[in-house]
Amino acid sequence: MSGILDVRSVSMNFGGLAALKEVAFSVPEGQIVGLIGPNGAGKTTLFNCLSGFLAPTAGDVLFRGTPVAGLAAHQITALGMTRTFQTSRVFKRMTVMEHMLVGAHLLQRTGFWAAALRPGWVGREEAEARARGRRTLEYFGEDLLPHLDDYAGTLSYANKRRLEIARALVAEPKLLLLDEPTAGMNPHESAEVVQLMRTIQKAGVTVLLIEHDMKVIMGVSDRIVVLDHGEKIAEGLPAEIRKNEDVIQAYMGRRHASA
Amino acid sequence: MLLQQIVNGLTQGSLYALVAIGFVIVFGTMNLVTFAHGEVYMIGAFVGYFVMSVWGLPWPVAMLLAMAAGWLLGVFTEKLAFRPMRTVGHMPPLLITIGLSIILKEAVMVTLGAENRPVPSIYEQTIRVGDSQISLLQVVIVGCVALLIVGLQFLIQGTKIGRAMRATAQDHEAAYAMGVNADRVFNIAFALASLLGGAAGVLVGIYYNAVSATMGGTAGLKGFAACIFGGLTSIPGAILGALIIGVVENLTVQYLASGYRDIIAFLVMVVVLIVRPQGLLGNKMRVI
Amino acid sequence: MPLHSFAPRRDNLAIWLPILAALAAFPLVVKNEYILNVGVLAGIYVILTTGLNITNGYTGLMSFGYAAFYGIGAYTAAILSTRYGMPFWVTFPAAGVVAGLFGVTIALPTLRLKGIFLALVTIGFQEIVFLITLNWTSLTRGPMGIPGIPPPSLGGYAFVSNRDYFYLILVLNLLMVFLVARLMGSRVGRTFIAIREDEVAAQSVGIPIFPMKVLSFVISTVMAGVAGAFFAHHARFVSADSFRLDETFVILTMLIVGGMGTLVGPIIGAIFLVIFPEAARFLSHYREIVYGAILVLVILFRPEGIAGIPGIIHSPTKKKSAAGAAPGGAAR
Repeated sequence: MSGILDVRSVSMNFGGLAALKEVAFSVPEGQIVGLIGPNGAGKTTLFNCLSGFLAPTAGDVLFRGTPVAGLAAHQITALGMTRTFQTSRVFKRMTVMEHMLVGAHLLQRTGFWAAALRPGWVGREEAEARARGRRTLEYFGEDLLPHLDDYAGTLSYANKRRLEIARALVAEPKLLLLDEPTAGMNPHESAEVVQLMRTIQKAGVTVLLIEHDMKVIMGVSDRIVVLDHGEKIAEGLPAEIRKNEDVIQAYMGRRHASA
Repeated sequence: MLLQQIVNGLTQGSLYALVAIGFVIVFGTMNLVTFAHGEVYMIGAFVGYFVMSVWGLPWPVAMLLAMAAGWLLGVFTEKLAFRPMRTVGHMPPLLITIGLSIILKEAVMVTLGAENRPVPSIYEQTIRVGDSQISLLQVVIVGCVALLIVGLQFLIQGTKIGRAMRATAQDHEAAYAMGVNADRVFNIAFALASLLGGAAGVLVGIYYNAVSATMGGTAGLKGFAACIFGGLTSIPGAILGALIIGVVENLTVQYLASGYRDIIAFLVMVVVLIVRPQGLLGNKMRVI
Repeated sequence: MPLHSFAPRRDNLAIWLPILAALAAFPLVVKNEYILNVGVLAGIYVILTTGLNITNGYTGLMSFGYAAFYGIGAYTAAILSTRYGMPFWVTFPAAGVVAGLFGVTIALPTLRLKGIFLALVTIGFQEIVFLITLNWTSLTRGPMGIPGIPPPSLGGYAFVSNRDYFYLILVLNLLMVFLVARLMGSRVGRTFIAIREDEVAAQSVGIPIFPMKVLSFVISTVMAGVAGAFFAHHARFVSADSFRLDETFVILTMLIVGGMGTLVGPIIGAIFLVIFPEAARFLSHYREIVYGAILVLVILFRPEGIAGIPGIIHSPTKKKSAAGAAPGGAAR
């Protein structure tokens, strides 16, 4: 089975600790796939392995048929996969518009000499990039557009998270990895994020999503993959996962352990 | 001749070691770097000059007063530069100590001039070992350094404040949670480091019979090089690095060219940082 | 418009054109050779401080070996002009190229280091360059320095008077400000800033971190090199002693006092700290002490300086580990 992303037996060891054990699944193109599991299950570690921030100890990752395990993060972005982070990683002292411009870094060509000498096409490229940035921000209604010239550090928490998604989106990725996009948001804001995901799915972007908010995950995912202790313990449609004994045990067990 | 250079090198190296240990103490407990350490050393040297050349008192008095001066400077610097800036990273304190080093150096230059000031010779008798001469002074100096290091070890291993320093060096938060007063530990650590710097200054003045306002810059950097060699958090590593630098410097002067003497320490520093930034014996820190 | 986001453009002509006109008129009005000389010095330091700002301000690299490249540029111009009779329009770019080459050579093994470790290794290289310059007497005449450097001459006209130098450095400054403003407002500049702000996030948008750091470093060393060439042809004498760690600290202080990460910060810092010791001659010997005190006070009470972006030198010790969760907790 192959999709836009094939995770093939990916393992990740840190010293003696096995964070991921032969995780394998596929993300079909055009779908929204949810990745869930109790805290410490290895979800973000998996994201790091997929997006080039960690090199898996073993296994393969195929993105649109190309092996990417062990590639550098910026190379994987160039192939069409972008991501957001669990904790907000906006560029605090860059404006919202600058985020949109730098997010589309790979869609522009201006290098040192072009920037210094500024032939005609540089200005056009810049104008195009600004227009593209504005279009991307329109996905977020009136949340970010009024703040085009504001430093990201001054934005509200929810806006920072939106900006991070916008930054990952402006590069027109084929696959978007979202790491807990609704963390810290109220139900209304979360619903907007869900709506956003549906909208970009219609625009042809595949989404792999880590979430703790069960309502969000169950509501928006086409498929769900469940990790626990670094292993995949279940995979299937939301309805199936909801009833899956192993999944329930994994979450229950955690609750018992901490009681 | 070779033995002579090694003896000279070990003596010089032991003085670098005192300076280097100061850096290790500060970085180990506080995770911070001071650029004013060289100037503390210089002030210690001038205290030695005043006590011995101007007031004619014996050298142990000079040592005690220089160490006291170092201690006071350390307390002051910590309160001024590090305490208000501790939580904002290592750059602001570093920059403040750069400013302080400028102030101290220029203050001495303004009041006492830039020329060398003489320090009287003592213990000029020499012992012959093979074809080299070991002066009594060298023995005394190495002895002093050794004594100070032993004293330091006793302090760190055997006293309550020493344990507090070690605990803080290992894990700030755990130490704090166990009731260690971080402010006090940092203050004492810094004062201790400066005390050693002051002692090194006096001994250098006695060894070379001269002190000058500009002697602190290079000495501080060499101490740093030794500290980096050892891994920034290891006292034995810093001592080893200092001794190696001292010996290689002397061999370079003897067998290559004297002008390149100072380059040894910087080569050590650069090579260690490029090849193995955590040094010989340090923990793997996040240096890259 | 806030001072720190100022960049000269067509639409804010009204602000910078009068300043430019005043500067152009300055030597016609002020005839005092000494004051003009101070002006030339300020011009040199504006280039140096702006150059350091590229790495330390915009890209967030703690580069502390800057004066070495200034010296390399100065010595290149000195040697080429006194020994090989090269004219200014050759020595000037050559100095930049040579300094840039040294920059690449030093950048490659060192730029993977960060923070204090990068600062220390650049200091180490700074001192090594100084010691080699001092000792390689056949090339540099060692401690005697290189005297007799001719003044710049372009098309037969020799720039001998301070007024000439002033106009020359003014033109150079204009060019530099123009180029830097363009560069920092472009995709390249955004790359540098992104690296400073968050290397992990910068990677995620496709920025190759290391090559861009090297580019930033090379740009700054080229600027130091050409400043050095100008210095050589102005002072007519170079000696290794002028290019030590002390000099790096002088430039660094100008950058911090003026402000990091903006276009005008380094300009203001350089002008202020060149003029201040002259204006404060009454302080005489105590000037240097006040210099150090200014640095301390700025860091304690206004770390962003006069016109810098707040927060650049701060790096709160609680840093999250790269890209989120790694089991066992990241090393402190």
